Amino acid sequence: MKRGAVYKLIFISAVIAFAVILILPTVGKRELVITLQDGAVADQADAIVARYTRDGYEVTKKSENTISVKGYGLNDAVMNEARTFPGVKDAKFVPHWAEGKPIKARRINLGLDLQGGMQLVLIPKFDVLERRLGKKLSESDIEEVSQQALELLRNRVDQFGVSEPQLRRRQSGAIEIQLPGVRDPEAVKRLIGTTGRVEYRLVNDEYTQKAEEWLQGKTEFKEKGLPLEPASQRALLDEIAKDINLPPSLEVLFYFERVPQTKKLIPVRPMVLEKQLSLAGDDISKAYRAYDEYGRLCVSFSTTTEGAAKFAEATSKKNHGKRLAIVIDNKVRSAPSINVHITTGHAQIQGDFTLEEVDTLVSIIKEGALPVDLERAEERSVGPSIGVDAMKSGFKALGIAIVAVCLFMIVYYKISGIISAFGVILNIVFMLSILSWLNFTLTLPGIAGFILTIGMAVDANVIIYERIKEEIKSGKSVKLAITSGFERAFWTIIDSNVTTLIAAFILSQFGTGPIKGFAVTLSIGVLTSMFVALYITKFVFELISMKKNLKKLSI
Amino acid sequence: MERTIKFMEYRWIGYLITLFLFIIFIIGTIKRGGFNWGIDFVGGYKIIVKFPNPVQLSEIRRALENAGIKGEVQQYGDEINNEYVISTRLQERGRRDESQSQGITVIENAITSAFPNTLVVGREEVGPAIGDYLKKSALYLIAWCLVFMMLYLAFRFEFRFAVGALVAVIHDVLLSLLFCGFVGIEINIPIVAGVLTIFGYSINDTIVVYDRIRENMENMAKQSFKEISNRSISQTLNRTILTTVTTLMAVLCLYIMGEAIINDFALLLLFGFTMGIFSTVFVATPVIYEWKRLSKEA
Repeated sequence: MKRGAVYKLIFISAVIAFAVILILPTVGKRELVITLQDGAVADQADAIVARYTRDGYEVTKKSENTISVKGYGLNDAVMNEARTFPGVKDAKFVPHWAEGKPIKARRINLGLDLQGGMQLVLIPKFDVLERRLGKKLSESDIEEVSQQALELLRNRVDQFGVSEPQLRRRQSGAIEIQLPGVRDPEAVKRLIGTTGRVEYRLVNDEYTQKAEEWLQGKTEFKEKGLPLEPASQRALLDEIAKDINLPPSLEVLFYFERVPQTKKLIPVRPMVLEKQLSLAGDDISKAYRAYDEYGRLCVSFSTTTEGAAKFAEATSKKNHGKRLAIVIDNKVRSAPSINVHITTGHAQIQGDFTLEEVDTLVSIIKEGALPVDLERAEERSVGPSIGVDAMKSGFKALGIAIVAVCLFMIVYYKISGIISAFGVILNIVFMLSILSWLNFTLTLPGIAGFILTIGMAVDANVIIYERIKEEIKSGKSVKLAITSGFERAFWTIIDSNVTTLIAAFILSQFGTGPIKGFAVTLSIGVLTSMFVALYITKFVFELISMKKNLKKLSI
Repeated sequence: MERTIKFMEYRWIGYLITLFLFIIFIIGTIKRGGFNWGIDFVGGYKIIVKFPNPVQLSEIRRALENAGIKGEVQQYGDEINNEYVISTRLQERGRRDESQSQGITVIENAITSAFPNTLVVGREEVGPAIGDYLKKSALYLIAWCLVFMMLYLAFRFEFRFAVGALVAVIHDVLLSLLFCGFVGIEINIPIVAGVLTIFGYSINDTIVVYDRIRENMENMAKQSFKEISNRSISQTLNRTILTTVTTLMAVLCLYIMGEAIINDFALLLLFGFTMGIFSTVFVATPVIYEWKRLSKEA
């Protein structure tokens, strides 16, 4: 073998190995660890064990109150369902080793149509807002209002106890929310429909410090962070209040910060506030992004006439050095210090803010000033059984398509057909690995895209093989026919695939989920199939050509 | 040398087939009362219900009628599942006085009171605003696809080729849409994706033939465009048939195995892909040929 070929072989093997590792978290076994509440009864644990054993999973009791469930086909909906069982404190997946460093692989998620769940599209009621403001909303107003609504929903959505909720802005101010495995759509709708409650309350530093110290004493939270489940957060807050002997005029809440990557809100520390409101949300008339005297980003806001008096009271001398917490839906989101006595009703919140932080804060203050009503424009909920059925028949069709296409190629092209069948399999591995890496959400139309790509992927092979056949017929030697066959087919394949890619790419820009899913699988399929046909298959033929006195080609 | 089929001489047959298809599809669509727009586009409610015992379609319809609901009922999935899709459209567009959740519970109540122990396993409701947006953006999408493809083709081939491909693609997209109207396929989001796939596939197929024409125009410079076309289509015919067979095999699997929604999608693709090869031979290439003939180059 020539040296160049050896390098190519190493490269191709490395790419394949890497692709296989990338898909492990998606297709491999997963482990779900269910933690029971401290007071859980043995019956409850037994019921859970029996339930998953019946479903065909490997169930082991790891300790007094943890149960491990292992198997294929465990998804977020299963996890969310597990959390609703009596006696369950939490349920979490153990990350696959490939998901850790250094590979940091991700997995393909299942769409709501395959695992069951609920999707909502909400549109802020712009007409109501216009009437209240007495003016027409401009394009940028709409943008702002929808940003404000998104902030409100982010604040709220984790109360459903659903992991992996997805929130997205859509066209013309609409917001899409996806909640896999939701059991009670009515409850979600009730909670979503209400407007946000924004309050401004003074922070009590003495008790805040006590609460923080109390938490410092609990090593479990240092390691794992504060609980993400709303129910356990509430339980923890009650526990803190009791242990630090909180007077009835005060209340302890969590201060929330947003994780930049996932956009999730997580509690970071406790904060003790006066129960008495200093200002209500609607005491503020407007808020906007501005720059302070040092040229740093800040939030500027004005109060209403009524609010000005309350604000002057809150910022009077006796409160200097204290902090004023901005609370939305019982989550503290900011707590600037009071430094100046403000009587004009106009003030700034200063700090080392990023642009995003300032905008978030502006959205929250505005939500209090001018609550946005949301209207449901679209609602889709899919029961888990329907999802499982759809997935089963989708994968069945996929499997049959693979077998049928491969068999056809082998019968028609013999040994060369085997090479292309091998190519089809590789193509699927590559597609899966890229989709996993993109953390793609697979839907039924996505599976359809997969099936279609298999049919189209062999097209490149067909073009090449037909060309080689032609070249052989025209009297060329086998070796020469292979080289010129690949050479001539190259541009045909590029041209025809680029046009398909253009269509698929534009499709993927189409807002709605199912079309996007279809287009993304199709585009990736086109790309991987080009790589397989023009690089890997070509390499196999180059290896075949290396054989001396090659007279016949099985094609 | 291989046999060359005189496709260009037979192009009249192709024109007749196109004309015939357009006429019967348009008449068929009109007879059905226009396109069957799904709730994705016009807004409405859709629920999937699972009955504890086997029921007749007519019984479900009667239950809906008794409750004063105009709706469509369809079986969903396998017969043994006893699952049905019930959908109603928003009758008047833009009417918002009746709260949306009321609308869907009315249907659910009508079913559950007539058939106790029935489970609602899926729910969809789409407001009217979404549909208008979708229609608009679907049109934009197609327009952008066309513009970018024309640009790429004009860059890689002659401008005339880009026009030929354009005509062929529009031919396929229109016929596919009319096919939906003709057989009464409900036009929803997956179907739009299907139409756009046909778009991509059809152009892909056209390019393979164009590519060969371009190559042959260099090798057979002395021959007429007509001969070059015939020769090129004949040379690539094997590939065209093989690729279509493999792709249609995949789609056929979807059609036979798929769920109710995917079934329509697969049926549309079966038709559209067949049209894709038809238009390559009888639309895309003849357009260039006629153009050359009119400008006296052929």
